[in-house]
Amino acid sequence: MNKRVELLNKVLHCVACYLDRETQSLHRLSALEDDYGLDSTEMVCIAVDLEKALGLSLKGIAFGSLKTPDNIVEAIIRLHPQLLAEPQRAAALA
Amino acid sequence: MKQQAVITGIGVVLPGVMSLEALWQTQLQAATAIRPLSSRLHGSRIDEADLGELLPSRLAKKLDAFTRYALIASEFALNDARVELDTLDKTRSGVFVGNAFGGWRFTENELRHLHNDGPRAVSPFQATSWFPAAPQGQITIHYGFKGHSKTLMADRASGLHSVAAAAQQIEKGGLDLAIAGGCESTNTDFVRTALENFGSDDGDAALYAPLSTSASRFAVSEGAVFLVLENATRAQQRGAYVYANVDGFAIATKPCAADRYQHDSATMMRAMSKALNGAYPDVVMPDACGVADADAVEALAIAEIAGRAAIALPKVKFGHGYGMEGALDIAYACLMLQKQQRLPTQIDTPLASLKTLRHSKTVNAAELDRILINGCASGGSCSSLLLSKGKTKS
Repeated sequence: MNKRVELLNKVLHCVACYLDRETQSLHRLSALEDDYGLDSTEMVCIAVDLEKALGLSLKGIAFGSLKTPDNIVEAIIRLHPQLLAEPQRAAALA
Repeated sequence: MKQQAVITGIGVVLPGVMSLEALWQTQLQAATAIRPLSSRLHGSRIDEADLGELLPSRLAKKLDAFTRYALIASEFALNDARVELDTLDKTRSGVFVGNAFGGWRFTENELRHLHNDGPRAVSPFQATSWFPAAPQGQITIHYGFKGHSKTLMADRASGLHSVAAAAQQIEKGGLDLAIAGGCESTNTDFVRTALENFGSDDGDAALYAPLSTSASRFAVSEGAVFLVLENATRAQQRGAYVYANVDGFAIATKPCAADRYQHDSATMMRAMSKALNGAYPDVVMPDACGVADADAVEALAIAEIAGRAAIALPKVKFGHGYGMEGALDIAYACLMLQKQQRLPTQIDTPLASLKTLRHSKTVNAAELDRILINGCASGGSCSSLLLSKGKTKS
């Protein structure tokens, strides 16, 4: 599976778990605040859940300013570009 | 012109009790909800399974138990009052909460997370869940109320203070409607530990029997009781049922050690007299601390001020509810005034100083016009609130 899609699925899964919803009911371009009613404190909870799921620190990402699941994926990739690299390349970057 | 504040709705969440009918029934049965909570403390506790899905799980997990209880009891109270929220001026609607302990259940969990897994594992909702004003914030947000609101912390008298503060705002025309009452979550390690010393005076006793010559051990309860208070004119115009008028409230204080209750019965007498303002109560509902010297002081005051009244101690079935206790006594008083029935005293061997008061082992039909409710706070404060029978009926 495309690594970006894999990351998006993990993000959607974390958001869905927080919302007590099915992952399939969420869309990558949906508005976190307007469509799902998530506030900035809830986004901190999701950030911590994501850190656990990914095994990575997400310190430095301003989760409160991210609008969609896609935005979260972009922000994580900017902070951890090795996530999109092939396994050998990722090991070298890590 | 001073307005009349009236009570038009009641909502309760107590151990094994989620309705007014169940609340009344607890006083007709021999059983109590009191069980051992630890090796040194007795009391009653809410089974969270009883709350079912009354709150959305996403909201519930952000809140401490005392706020969950408060939100549910508030909704029950508004439903009981048949308030149509769309017709309310939200800027003239407020929320008043009495609380003593705050949200220790949530806090204890997060302290464990902090200790075991570090600061990133602590819920960000810790900040908004623990503090005693959390229920006030959540209720006002939920209903969009923007009028004067307050959380009052006065130990066991918190619930009386909360209802009195709401009534005062209505009387002076600052609010049309208020949700007022109290809530506690005492089923936590921290609160239990804090109360174990307090409750160990008569550790061999099996019963919570305050104001009694029987061996008694202190017992604690938890839950939430909220009332809907309205301007009497507004209540009458919309055809609301009026349980009771809030007729008087007074506080008297003579400072004593911060961890002690009033040792001078004259202070309690002063509060009761001021609240009565010349009227005479048919029933007195004591604070009933459950600690011998505090009970003796209150008994002397009751005998002096209301020696011909009846006495009712419904809290014996649950234990003392601290911040919610005043509101719970008010709820029982409202039901007594509505049914025109006097609840049993609930203690078999009252203190000798209470011998002139009327005691009963059963529910009795009675002409009830006024009920006086006491509450005490450590440090020497005594409070008293007077209710009278509602004059407007649908």
